[in-house]
Amino acid sequence: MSATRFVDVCGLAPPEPMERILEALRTLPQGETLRVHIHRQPYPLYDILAREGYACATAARDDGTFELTIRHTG
Amino acid sequence: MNTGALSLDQAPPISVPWRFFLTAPLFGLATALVLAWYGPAILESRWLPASAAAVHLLTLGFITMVMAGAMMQMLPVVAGAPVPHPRLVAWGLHVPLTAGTVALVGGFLTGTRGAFLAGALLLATFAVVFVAVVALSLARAKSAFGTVNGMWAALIAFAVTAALGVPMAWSFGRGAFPAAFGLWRDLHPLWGLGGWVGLLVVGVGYQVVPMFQLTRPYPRLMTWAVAPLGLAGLAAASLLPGTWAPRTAGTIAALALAVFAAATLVLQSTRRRRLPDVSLTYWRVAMASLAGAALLFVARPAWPAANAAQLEVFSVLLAIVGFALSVIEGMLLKIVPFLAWFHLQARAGLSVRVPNVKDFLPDRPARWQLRAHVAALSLLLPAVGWPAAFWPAVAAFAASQCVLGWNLWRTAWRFRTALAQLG
Repeated sequence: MSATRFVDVCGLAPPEPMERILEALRTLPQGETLRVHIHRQPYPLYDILAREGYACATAARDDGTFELTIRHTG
Repeated sequence: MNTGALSLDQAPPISVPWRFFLTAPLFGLATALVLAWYGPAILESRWLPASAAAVHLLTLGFITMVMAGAMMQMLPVVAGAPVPHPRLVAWGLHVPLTAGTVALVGGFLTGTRGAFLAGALLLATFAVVFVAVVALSLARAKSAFGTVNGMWAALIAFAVTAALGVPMAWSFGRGAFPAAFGLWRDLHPLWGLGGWVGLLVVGVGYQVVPMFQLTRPYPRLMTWAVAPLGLAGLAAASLLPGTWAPRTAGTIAALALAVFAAATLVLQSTRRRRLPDVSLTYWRVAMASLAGAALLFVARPAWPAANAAQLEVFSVLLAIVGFALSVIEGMLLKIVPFLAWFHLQARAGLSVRVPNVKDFLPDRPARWQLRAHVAALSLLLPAVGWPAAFWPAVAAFAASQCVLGWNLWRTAWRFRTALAQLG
């Protein structure tokens, strides 16, 4: 199983969550997975991820927040 | 649930909204010059030609200018239907609005008939293009009900405001002023400020307050009720003049706006993270001003006759500078650097590190802008009955517009520089 990194951006004002996620992806080694805890669906991010060749799965948590699992498809 | 999403494919080119945003402070500064030229007497009544000039520099040159640009940006996001030929449409809106405002204001200041006629034609062009483009997009909207609802109500109010204003400007140009226009003169600012500006801020607020200020969402009933109540109130006030209905309907509409302002202040006070934020403070000033202006309108029958003209000017200042300018300046501080970062990030891809939002517009100059604005408002309001406050008020207002312009233009310049470095 590949290594996983975790970023919690819950409660940060836009666009800081997106800035932090993209920064984390920039330094993410090939083959690793990034898990993100976030308080709302980051719609603008999905478009950027798709363009950059990342797959993103979004799961809703019981507390109303979301968990994203992002990995490079290349 | 807010389903609005900023998609790279649907977002218009950055030059589309920016041309509107970057123009606004120039009209703000022009307003300060008009105030300085005419002196404290300009605040004695809203019926003076110079007062009308100052009001239209702000309502058309600043407020409508930014709101038109923001609509071009938000429509594809909210409606999911991009505005066709966005650059061409932006030209078709920006040029007639800018030139029409200059012409109309020139008409008020010089009494030149040709200026009124040119202003009426140009602003009619802007109104027709704007209503057509926005209606087309909103008709395709499928999501974000509260916001779309508010945008429709605001668009209708804009169309009515223009339909009342353009014929008045045209008849000034013809040297006539029919008696029926007496009522129009009262309805025009009511639809413009209460409807066009007020209801659009309500509609947009449902999205941006929870999103940017990390508050709970607005109560669902409110997102359904405020815009229709406001619109119905304005319509009843216009269609049934001289009866008990306008007063009651106007009161309901004003109270609906006051309830929105109060709800926003409550949501902000219970937000999840209590970090200081310039934009949030702008919103708080705006909501307090909106509630104040709405309650002053409700209390209008109780105004002492001797101070009625002053109270009218005070209410207009509260609505325009206290409410509209505060909320708009607060949002510009968020939107302009965000768009710079977003477009640059999209262009650069993930492999290149781009400047972050705070690099485009740091907190410090944003705080200076807020301070200058609050100083201007705190001095302009008492200047209505206390002329000694007038000159410091004008100086503070001019300074606030200079700082706003500096912040916006510098962000644009930094964007261009960063873009050039990308190659």
